[in-house]
Amino acid sequence: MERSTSAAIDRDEPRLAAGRNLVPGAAIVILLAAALILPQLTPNQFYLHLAILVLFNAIFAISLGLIASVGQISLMHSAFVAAGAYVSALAALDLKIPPILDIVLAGVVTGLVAALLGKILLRLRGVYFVLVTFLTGQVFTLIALNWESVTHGANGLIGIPAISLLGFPLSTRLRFYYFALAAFVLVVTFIWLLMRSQYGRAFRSIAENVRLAESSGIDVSRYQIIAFALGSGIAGAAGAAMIHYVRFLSPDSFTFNDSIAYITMLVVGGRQSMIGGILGALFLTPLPEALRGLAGAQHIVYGAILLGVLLFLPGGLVSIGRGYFHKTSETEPT
Amino acid sequence: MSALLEVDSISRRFGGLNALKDVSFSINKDEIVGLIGPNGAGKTTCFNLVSGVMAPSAGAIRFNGHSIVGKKPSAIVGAGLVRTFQATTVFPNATVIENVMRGAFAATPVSMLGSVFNTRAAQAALSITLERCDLLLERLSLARFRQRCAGELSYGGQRRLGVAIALAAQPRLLMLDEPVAGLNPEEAADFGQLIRELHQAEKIAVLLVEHHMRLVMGLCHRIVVLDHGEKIAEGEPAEIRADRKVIEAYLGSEDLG
Amino acid sequence: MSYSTLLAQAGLNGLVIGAMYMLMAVGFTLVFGIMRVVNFAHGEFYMLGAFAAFFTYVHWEMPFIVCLAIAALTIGILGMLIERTLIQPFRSDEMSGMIATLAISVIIQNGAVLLSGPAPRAMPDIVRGTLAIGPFSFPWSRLLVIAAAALIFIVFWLFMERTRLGRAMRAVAQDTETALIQGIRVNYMYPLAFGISVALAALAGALMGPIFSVSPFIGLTPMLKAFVVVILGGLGSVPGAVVGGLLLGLIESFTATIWGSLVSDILQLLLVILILLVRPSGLLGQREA
Repeated sequence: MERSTSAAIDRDEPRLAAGRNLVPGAAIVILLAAALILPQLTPNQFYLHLAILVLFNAIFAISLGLIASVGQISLMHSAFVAAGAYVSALAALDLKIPPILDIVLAGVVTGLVAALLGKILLRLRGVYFVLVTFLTGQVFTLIALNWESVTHGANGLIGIPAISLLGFPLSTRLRFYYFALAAFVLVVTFIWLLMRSQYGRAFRSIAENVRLAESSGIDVSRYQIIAFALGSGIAGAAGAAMIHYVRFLSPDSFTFNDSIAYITMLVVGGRQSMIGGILGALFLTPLPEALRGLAGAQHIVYGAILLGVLLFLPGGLVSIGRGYFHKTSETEPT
Repeated sequence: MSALLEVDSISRRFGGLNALKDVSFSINKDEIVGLIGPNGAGKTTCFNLVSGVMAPSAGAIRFNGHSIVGKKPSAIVGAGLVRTFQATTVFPNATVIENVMRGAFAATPVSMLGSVFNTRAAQAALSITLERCDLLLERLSLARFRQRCAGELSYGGQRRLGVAIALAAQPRLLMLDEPVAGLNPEEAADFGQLIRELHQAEKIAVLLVEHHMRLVMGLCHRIVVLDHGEKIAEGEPAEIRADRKVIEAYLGSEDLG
Repeated sequence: MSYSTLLAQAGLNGLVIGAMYMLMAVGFTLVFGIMRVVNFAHGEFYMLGAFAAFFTYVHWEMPFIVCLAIAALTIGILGMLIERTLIQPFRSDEMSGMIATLAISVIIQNGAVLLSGPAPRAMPDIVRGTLAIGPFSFPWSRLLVIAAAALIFIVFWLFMERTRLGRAMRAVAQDTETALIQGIRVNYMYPLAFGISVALAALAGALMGPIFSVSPFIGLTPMLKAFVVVILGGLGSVPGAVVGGLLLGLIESFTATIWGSLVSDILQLLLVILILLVRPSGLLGQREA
């Protein structure tokens, strides 16, 4: 259920509106402060690494959520992550372009490829689209494995340089954590602004009733392509950023299992809003570590949680909170 | 003075079947025109062709002098030709006011990027549109449901909301697809009155597909009759009432009167 | 090796792979045609069939035909249970149903890894020796697969055409509401259709076990190919699945022999995209109104 329009004030309840906006605002400030001082609380390098993974997984999940906001499911999301990583790594290693520019380049390239693919593939009805994204993702992996002259095949690329900001290298985990946090905040802000704008209005219309959206003057295929290109482009840029932290890239770095993982995070957290993707990443990223004792059963637990959520909590973790706080702060995508 | 809408010998084939054959008519900007015919006559196909949902196998369709054949439905809406649907007429999970704001999407003079950064101009444009939408809600007796989910409205309410969504797009020609189907006689009469008022006040031309004869006869300036995919008659209600071909086409059907 | 021998061998392999693709695709398209479900776990049932055949043939040393029967039955019943408990709840939500089958595939695949380990196991040929026709020699093991697949399909076809149950299922696929009115118990048709579908996949896996190896990861590629075939032949069309399956097997075999498997895979994807653009309903599919 949505609140009224994005940019106009809710005339019926001006005072309540002001009060309503304070609570989530305060929550965000607190969370941000907590994130900033996190390294001080847990000097353990491993937890810092985990935090970085959470931030990136959150970006992957919410960028997938952007694609889902138009009612599409992409089973090749990890392929775009990988594509962005390869573009960035190769630009850094072979063309000697500074990593920070490589990341931008990777985002632009994957976004454009996605726009082109989307133009061809988004003519297809929902089910066909999902199937073809799966096939295309597999082909991306095949190319990474077999185009050995460029990607070094299964051996992968090593020695990928770290990001350097104005001569300041992000060579320690701590420095990269703050970079990841900044990237996360940037992506969240961008998507929040987007979903709150006329773009978001168009996306939600398409997701709810395609025929009526088109008849309301919303060019459905155009906005589907935009959502797909933006979501995939952000994933590509994030993959590029990540690879300058891990500094090693192979076709195994991002596989179909990762695509499933991002979908799992999105569904478990809640498809309805951006907070869902973040919650899903927060909840599911540390899981393989926490379940390390169960040797091999980690993935089964993953799958079981996904199934359980689909069956018993279809709104995801976010829907638990929604029952508690009756009014929500943001206009949700449906 | 050329007509607002010119439908010129359009045909539509499905496999071997001729759903529509050589149908021509036009609508002027000060008219309410009814499109009637027994079941299977091709009225819905005709509607779908004009609104751009499918392309004609042959023939031309001009709106405001420009051909609209091959254009996307969203572009046709932008040109001022807006339709309603029989079923799934609303966005069920959004509020009533949001539904109308979505209908106004193409008619909202805001730059997309401006709306992302919430510029002063964007806020102003959206504010104006919001006021316009609220006025539409009042016009269609939906104002008190403003914040309710569209899916919760009664059948009649959803139908009225469907019209509000279409009106939000600021049409020059409004195409109504069986607007009173499923409404009781009182609601249907109210609806007819509403259409007449909108036509006169907003200077909107109307094309109406309906089975409800009393409404059609009482509301329309002109009527076009289809049967088996072809036009069999066209004229004022009194003429159509007396037309032998029309009576024969409907013989045995409950529709007449 | 002479050119003609190469071609003959490619042709035979093409038919073998094609037979496997055909069985996978028929099952996949059956479930989509009747239930509108895209089963992403379809490949895992292929894998389970291979394992079932492996254990019954190698460890219990039963005659291969018994192994096939056991594989089909156990996995068919498993499929029916899964449909009843995990897939029916998503009847009204296509997308969520798809994601659910993804989850199921993850569980099954990793369950297999847990129980059997990730290493592939080799399965001995069922028959040895070759059939010599002129200058060509065809291994009996390959011919057996083609013959068995053909037989399985004929049995399936007879079931769908000649039995009351089969006709009832086709009625449900065509028009669920009318089928309900005619008194067909739709709620029994769905698990049955799903069970038959995965039984076909299991048989494909069992037949291919001796040819490729048996491991928890062998399910992905057959499922991929089933998708391709079904898109080529039309989602919901059984004849399309047969023609498409055999055609794809032959195309793959020939293009891989001449240009290598990467080019072959990319060509297949391009073919899929081409078909989807030009004739979205597939070669033999129904055009959706």
